[in-house]
Amino acid sequence: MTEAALPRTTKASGPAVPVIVEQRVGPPAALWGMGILIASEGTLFICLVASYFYLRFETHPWPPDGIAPPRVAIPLIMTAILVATSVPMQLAWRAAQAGRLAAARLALVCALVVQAGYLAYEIHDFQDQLNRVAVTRDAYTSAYYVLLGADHAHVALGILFDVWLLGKLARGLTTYRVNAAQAIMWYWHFVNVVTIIVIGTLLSANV
Amino acid sequence: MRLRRLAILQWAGLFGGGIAWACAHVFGYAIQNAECGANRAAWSMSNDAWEASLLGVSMFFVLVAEAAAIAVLRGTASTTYDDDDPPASRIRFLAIAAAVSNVIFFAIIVFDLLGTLFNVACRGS
Repeated sequence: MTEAALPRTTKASGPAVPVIVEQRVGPPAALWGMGILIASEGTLFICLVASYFYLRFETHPWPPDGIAPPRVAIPLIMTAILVATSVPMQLAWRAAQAGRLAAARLALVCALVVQAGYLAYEIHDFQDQLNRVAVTRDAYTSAYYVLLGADHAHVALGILFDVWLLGKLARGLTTYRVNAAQAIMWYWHFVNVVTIIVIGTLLSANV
Repeated sequence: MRLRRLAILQWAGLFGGGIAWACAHVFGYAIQNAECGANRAAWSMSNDAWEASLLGVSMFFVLVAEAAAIAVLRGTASTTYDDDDPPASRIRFLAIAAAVSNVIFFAIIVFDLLGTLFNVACRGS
């Protein structure tokens, strides 16, 4: 296919998609938009983590008397499982970029199943913790639940992105959808890094 | 060459408002410390006058950044950010982001100014 014959639009589909994506001279607008979202959400988490450590250094003992330190093993295992989904997300984008639609869908479904399972367990665990210790008990519980809840909310948003992208890919591959796959892949890399930082922050109460 | 000028204006528009607000915030904190801190007699500053001047200057820079963003939007009127190739699409897209974010930074500075003028300075919390 000659370059002149290529429809220079995000609605381009079929065999033109990998050619257009390969010829692109810079990141698409979707990636800039995701960059802005990641920057603003990153700022939110920096503020939350800073608040946590501010409260920690002003409060003794930490966690306050009557509250057990957070468990270590299960949060670490669950974090490792979530972080592993960066691999199928990357593969999904690579496949979409190369025009391999079925492989892109399969990788995305694999990632979605693991991410949904992670969120289902974490919501159950969050509810269980809330039943034992109320969020309004003290500064520690407020900081703990807000940090963890904000992280879970970002995982939930990522799952919605995945479902939306799968719905789009069910109707074929376009340049627009390849751009979306790339942006959503970056979102998941961000969420996974944030989850590592949040869990590390919360587990630091054991130190 | 024209695209390069638009790109420079776009980055100025995108970061100008945020940098102006950040500087106003940091220098405003310093002014308040100079007036309300333990060594305030040495400085003998008027908090309201200094804060109002500082915030007025920062509002001016936010307006300049907004003007840059609008100039880029006008200069890229025939470009679509999703269909055209970079860097034109990126310049258009980030100019839209800049035009919106500068309005938000302007509002933050206005509320900072109102808070400074209507609150009693050096009052302990």
